Amino acid sequence: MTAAQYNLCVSQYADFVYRFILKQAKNSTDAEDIVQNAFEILWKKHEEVSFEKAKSYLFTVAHNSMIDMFRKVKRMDYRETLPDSGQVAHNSYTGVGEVLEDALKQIPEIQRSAVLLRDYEGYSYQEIGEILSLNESQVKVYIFRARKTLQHYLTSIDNVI
Amino acid sequence: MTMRITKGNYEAYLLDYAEGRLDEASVRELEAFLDRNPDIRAEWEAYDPVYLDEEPVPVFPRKDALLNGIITLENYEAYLLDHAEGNLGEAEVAELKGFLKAHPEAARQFEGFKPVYLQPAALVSYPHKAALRRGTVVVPMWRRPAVRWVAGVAAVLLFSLPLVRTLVPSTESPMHIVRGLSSLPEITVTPPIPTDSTNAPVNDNLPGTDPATIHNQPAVRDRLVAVQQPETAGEMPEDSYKLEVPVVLDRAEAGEVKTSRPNYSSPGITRYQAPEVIPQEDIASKGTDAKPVSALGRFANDLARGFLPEDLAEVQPEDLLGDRKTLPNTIILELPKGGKKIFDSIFKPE
Repeated sequence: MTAAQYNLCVSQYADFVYRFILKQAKNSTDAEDIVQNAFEILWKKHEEVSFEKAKSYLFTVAHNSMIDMFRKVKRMDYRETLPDSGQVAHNSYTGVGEVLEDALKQIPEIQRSAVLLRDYEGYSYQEIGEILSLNESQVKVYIFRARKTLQHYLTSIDNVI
Repeated sequence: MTMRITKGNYEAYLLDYAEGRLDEASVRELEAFLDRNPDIRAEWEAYDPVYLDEEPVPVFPRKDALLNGIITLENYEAYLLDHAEGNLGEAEVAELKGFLKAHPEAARQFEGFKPVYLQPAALVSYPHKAALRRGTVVVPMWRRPAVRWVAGVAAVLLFSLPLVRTLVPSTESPMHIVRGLSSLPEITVTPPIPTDSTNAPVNDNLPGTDPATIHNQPAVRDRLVAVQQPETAGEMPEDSYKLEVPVVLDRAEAGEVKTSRPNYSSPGITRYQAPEVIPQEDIASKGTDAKPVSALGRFANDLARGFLPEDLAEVQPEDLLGDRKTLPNTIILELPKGGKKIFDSIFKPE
């Protein structure tokens, strides 16, 4: 892509990539750093990446950077391990949105990434697989489990609104 | 029909089923799978998937910094520096001027901008480089080329023995050091090899003996040269053991050094009861009139810790004489396999 197309990617996709990472990062500063890093990498590779593939490229790079950051600071176990339900903090919420936010935090990162890419960004299962380096079947398994976990959390008696 | 649905992938099929993507054949297969697995059917019947509603998209706050080739409030200072250093082309200068015109607050920073550049001070030299230098690390010694090991061992014995009093005149040659490993209850540390014969009586009148002279005597030099070029250079000898040789550094304590019969603590280790190895830094604390023998003490301690001079030429006998104060020390020689054989070749000619 050209430099002009790259700048167009900044205008079009920076906010979406930021939302995707912000939902999973511990703080906005980390999310901003990850997004900036993703675009820096895209700029370095802009002559090799087509404009049509730029969005998925950005999500892939941002996701990988996020995983690297998590591993570096040991904040999160990337493996699909469900947290002990006894450790889930049951808070009282005033809105479904906050409940969902908390519910999202309960599911493993890989499931969360997959369901965010599906529901927020509208990617197909194949595209999600390319971003997350999974095959389509694995993506579906993770999303099935994510939805089931979210359902279980939302229907938990302590979170009834 | 090939069974594609398993307990490892049934969730993917359930998701497709819930979202209406399964054909009739796949639905029948899935239903048959659920019939065979009532627990999974119960899971399916309880499945009520949650879909996330798309949330408003937040604004990425550093978007301007991501833009390339465009001057923004995030990066204009970099352009100012480039301009001050003459790195901008005409088009970029024009763009910068246009930006500054549109952003007066940035323009005010540009006015009178004269970057300060630091000049390095005069070369700073670390004053203790000599103390940082080390000889060759020899541990484990069997990794070093045999030629260097042999040269190092020869240097140890040649440089240390002259400073040792012959404690009891002995008619036996320095080969006792080797013999004592296997048969003698006492070890006598003897002067260096006589030039004419290794079996000649040892002369303990050493005061006038110049280790440098001894070292440079033709027979010794030849022998040193000879053992520096062993036939099996580079090969690992067969029998290895560790030899701890007590070394008395001062004539004032001349006397017979007796050691107990060696105790073989392990097939590869031979140990003598010997004074403890005193680290260089502790020597000064070992007696009011004790003063570390700088070069030899350091050399002996280096050997004890497994260091040898990179080049034997660096260790001259006259360098090792030092003040020759009294402090026993122990040189630990970790001999690779075949060390006894090599010792014999040094002190017991065929």
